[in-house]
Amino acid sequence: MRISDSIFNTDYLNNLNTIKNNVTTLQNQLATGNKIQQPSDSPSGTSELLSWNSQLDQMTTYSSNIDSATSFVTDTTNAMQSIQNEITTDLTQLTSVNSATVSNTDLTNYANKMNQSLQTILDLANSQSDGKYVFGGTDFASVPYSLSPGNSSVGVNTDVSGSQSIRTSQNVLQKINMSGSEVFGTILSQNGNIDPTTAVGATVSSQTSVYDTAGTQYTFKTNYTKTAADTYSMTYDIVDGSGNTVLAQPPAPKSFVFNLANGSLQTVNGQTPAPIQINLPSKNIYFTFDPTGINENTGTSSLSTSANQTTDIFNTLIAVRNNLQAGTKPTAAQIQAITDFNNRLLDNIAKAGNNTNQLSNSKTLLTNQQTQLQSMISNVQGVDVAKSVVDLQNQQNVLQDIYHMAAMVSSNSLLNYL
Amino acid sequence: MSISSVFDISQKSLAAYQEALDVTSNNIANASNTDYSRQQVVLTPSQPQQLGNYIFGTGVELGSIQRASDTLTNSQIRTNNQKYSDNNQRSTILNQVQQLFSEPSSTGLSSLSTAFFNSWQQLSVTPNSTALRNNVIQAAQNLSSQIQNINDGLNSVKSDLTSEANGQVTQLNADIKQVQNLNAQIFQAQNSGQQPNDLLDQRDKVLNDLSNIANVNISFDSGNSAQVSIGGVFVADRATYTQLQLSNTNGKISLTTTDGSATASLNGGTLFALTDMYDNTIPSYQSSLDGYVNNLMNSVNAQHSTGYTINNPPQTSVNFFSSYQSGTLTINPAIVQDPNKIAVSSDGTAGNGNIALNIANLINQKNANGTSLLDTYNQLISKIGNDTQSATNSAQSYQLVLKQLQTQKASISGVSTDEEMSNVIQYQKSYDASAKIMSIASQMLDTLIAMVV
Repeated sequence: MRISDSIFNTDYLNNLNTIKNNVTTLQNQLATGNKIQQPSDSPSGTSELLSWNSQLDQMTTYSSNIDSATSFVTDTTNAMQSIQNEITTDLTQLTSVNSATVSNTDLTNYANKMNQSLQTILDLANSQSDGKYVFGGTDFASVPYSLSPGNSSVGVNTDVSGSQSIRTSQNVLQKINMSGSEVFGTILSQNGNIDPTTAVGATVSSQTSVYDTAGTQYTFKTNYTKTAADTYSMTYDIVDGSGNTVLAQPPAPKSFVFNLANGSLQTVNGQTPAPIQINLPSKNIYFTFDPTGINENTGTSSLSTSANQTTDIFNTLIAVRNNLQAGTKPTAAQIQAITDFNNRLLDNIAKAGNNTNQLSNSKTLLTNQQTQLQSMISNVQGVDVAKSVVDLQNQQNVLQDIYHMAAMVSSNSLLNYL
Repeated sequence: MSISSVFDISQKSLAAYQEALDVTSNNIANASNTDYSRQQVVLTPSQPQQLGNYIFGTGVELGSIQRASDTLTNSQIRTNNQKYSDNNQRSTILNQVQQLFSEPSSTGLSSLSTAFFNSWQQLSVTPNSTALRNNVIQAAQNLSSQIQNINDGLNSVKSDLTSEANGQVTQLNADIKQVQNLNAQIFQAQNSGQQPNDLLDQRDKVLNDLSNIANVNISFDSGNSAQVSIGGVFVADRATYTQLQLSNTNGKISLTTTDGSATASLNGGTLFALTDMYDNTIPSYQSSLDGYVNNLMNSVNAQHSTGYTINNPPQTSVNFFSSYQSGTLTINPAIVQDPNKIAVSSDGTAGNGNIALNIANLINQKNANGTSLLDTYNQLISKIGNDTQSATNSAQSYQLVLKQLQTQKASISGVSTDEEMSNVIQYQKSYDASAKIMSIASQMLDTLIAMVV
């Protein structure tokens, strides 16, 4: 092949350019520590990186949420343990009141102690964590529990039945709070069945007793009127001993929809079923109605409603205090009610402890997943520094050789020898 | 034969070698000119004379000056030029486009989208926190700002493409005019018996320039005039030429004749890359980005509008984003003014963060095709990466072929100074020898004159 001067020049420049490109790429990789600087360096690698980095960021957020939630659950547990200590002390004192001969003065002293205990428990029931009422459910509009002006009863000011959950991974939601209704409230659990062959327009009813803070009995009535297949309009009413409603106005009907496949309650007003807090301050009636146990399955329609307690712990303690002030020892039923509350409280403390453990386990799992993901990201994006340094040195040597060769060859031609 | 004929032969020889040295000198002068085709001197014996039974030579003369050129290689270079220029231009533009997306990095849309959804995740833990509500607004503003930057960048690239394409068309028109002019000059020179080597080099250069810009089709008629068409549209021959312009119809640019009678069907050269990127590639990226942003906005709004604000009284049916228009994603101004209007409560209570949980989970929710929101964006980035890589690889590949062809051309047409210096020595020696012969003939004549005197 005939070699012209321009071939020399072009080849030299091409080779020089190629090597300089290689050197620049290696220098960039070493300076940043990343193999992938832009999508075209590795389109599939970039796609993986974007996805993994997003997952890693999400995990960091889950982890941060778990830290906040753990703090909240710890505050909840501490509050419940303090209440449990108070209740244990109260029970000890009430047992000693009942088992010994005590004077009226002593009973008054015990009444004062009961009152102090009530105040302490009330304060603990209203305690906060990070600006949130620990037992306030999700309604932070005001203090959840408060004494009436005459200290004669404790009322519920807000909807304390709300559930707080956090996401600990893409598919796991974990409840973190113990609602006021779970810990202190009267819960009316409704169970049973509604026959799916019930005609549209027909109504399935149920009723049970509820009590105000003074122990006066009322009747809570629920009606389920079928409006379409698997859909019912639920209304309720509270009536006094004379059968008169005590509600200022009828509540808005709620739409209950059952799952066609398994018959479980699917939605209430289009949302996931949840207990309904019913507060009637004018009559001192406070309770949570939990209809999540009813189903729509083939069979006879039959609904039953039961309460976990007649009166809540605050008003039970008030009744005991009032009795003591009046020189009357607490009744066995009152002591039993306090004991039952204590037992439920121990269960709730255990549930909170379980929540803490689950959060801790989720955190450990997340940490392991983060480590694994970081390793995968490093494999795709990270530079093998030793290899890159050797490659860079090699390319720089080649570059030097090209310069030398160009200097040696280009300087000579036939002209030099004429 | 007389002594004077020796003088004649020497004189012709001196003239021939002087002309040969002129050609060599011209070759050496153009050794660094890549568009120059070396010229070769063809020396031929002069017409011989017959005296009696003998035929005597009458010396040497310059037969012709030939241009070393290979038509086939030149044609292949022009074909590869179109493909290389197209891919190289695309690679350059796509590199600019991929820089606009800042991926993979913490300032990319992927990270900012994740940060946006994570801010909802954080808000779900403490839904009544004003700080966390402001955090959501800040994350949304960061997201919106980056979306705006990308869209502005893409529009700016499109604007640059139009300017660049207009510049290319100006160059194209100048080249077309020059081809017609050179055709005429070459024809004229050839008709008057001249060898228009330098004009042919100039025309080859212009044709090469044309092939860089667009897909040209070139044929040569019997008078060696180039007949040029671009994308099926005739543009130049020896007698006439046609000027072209860029036409913008419905947001798409095309190459047409100035009278609008014909449209060139481009498929090569930088102009094809510029118009195709403007008409198709960048709009497809913008469309994908718009799809992602619209999907994000609609999904978030669909959830957000079912929630309740925590101001008094609580409101519902409030959209988080107002609109996405002309590349601008706007956050509901009422929310920016009052973070309590972020509606994350499903029941109107301040501590309920169910809607925030739902919004946070949108990032992982898959559609009917099994693709999540972020997957659609990742696919766009992957496509841009693949397009860039493909254009760059193709450009490099065509560049290699082009280098080989150019080496082949340089091997035939390029000047070698060694070769030329060798010729110089050869011609110089011949010139010296001819002069010596003339000197000897002079001495012979002197001898004869001395005999007479």
